[in-house]
Amino acid sequence: MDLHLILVIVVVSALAFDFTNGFHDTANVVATSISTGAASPKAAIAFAAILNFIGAFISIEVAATIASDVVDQSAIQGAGSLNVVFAGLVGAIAWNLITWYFGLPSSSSHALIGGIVGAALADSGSQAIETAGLVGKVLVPAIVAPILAFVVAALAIGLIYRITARLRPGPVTRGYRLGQIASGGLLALAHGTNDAQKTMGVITLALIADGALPEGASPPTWVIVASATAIALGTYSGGWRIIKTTGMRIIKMDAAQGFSAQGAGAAVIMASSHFGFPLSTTHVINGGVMGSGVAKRVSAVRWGVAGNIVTAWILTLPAAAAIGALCFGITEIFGDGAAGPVIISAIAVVLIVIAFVRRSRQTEVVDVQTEVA
Amino acid sequence: MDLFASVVAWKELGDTVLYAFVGAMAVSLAASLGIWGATKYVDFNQDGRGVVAGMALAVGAFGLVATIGIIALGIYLMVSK
Repeated sequence: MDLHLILVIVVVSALAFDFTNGFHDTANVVATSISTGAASPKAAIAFAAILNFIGAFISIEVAATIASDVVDQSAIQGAGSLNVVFAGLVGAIAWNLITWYFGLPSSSSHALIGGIVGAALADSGSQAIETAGLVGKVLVPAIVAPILAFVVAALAIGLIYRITARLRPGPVTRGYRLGQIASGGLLALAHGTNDAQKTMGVITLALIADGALPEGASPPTWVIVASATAIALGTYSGGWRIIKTTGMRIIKMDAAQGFSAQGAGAAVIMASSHFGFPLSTTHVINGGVMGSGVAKRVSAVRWGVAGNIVTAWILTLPAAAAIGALCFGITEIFGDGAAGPVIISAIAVVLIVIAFVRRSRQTEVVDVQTEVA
Repeated sequence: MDLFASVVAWKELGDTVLYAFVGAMAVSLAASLGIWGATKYVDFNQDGRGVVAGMALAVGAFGLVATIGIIALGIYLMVSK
């Protein structure tokens, strides 16, 4: 009974993480379109939410590797394994909400990996960590992603300005705004495909650990539908504070820059997905935005804002790991049963409600709409 | 250094860099040609230069078709992953 209750809590936590993932990463997909006026904020977000939902069904090549590449599964098996997954999810959700609160675009994937690594470390020590996987699949891509997107977007905007320099600005702006709708759509599709699978993977792992599914099973249909729905609802809710940072605070963007940032971002994400080299959507898009700004002139980028974003990226893994480890430690006080997760969930819900009340969404929508106008 | 050499998938990384660069430049070039062609078509037409306007329209149409083709290829790569 206790194990089933923990399973239910883990599934709900995974869907909550999926919601924050969509909510947090809306900016990656829509920020540049909104800031250049290519689409109205509400239309852009509704479009992104629908494509995120569809994207989740495109491929069900289970992304369970999110955990298995960085954590030794055999080291965390046993009665407490669901508590490790739960604590890792809480670490990821907490970091997503903290960075949202401060309007900082950080990687949800890294938050999830950090949370699970921290909880696994607290449970089994360093032998639970796959160092090679952590370096090769997380740390190196984290460095490569923004630099690659930065360079590619800078070169792309250079080419665009060269071709369109002597044209009338009106049709050029309208043309690139149209292009942004297409490139934004591709990004939303790619985001749904990549990110919803993380949740499907985590829930599937939990079901396997519980014995509800045999080892090596694919995610059941309800898991796919629930994950797709959670990420789409999160996207539709819109992380307005982060949209403002990515779309308006890093650079003052024109339509061509928005198109180059999104086009370069889509090219980088699709190439990386195709060759199995995982990159963070957040790092790619924000690197692209900075690159498209710096190609115009170096001072076009607000380096203070860029510095804050990079600091958040550096802190994501250790901070989510620390919260994950702390949560696991608290659950352990109550043993392997459901008491720990129940208490932490209750505290988390209260803290989330407080955070949301303090950062009223309605004010932020109006805020973004005012700035765009 | 040995750790990086053994755990980083250098080939995949190299391919990602190359194809991301080619993809981004291709879509930027195609879309820009589309916009250039459409804008110039209107301008040349207004100046009464019908033949040159037709050529600009052809460039614009090529750019538009190429942009749609690149986007379709992107979706295909995603679906067939």
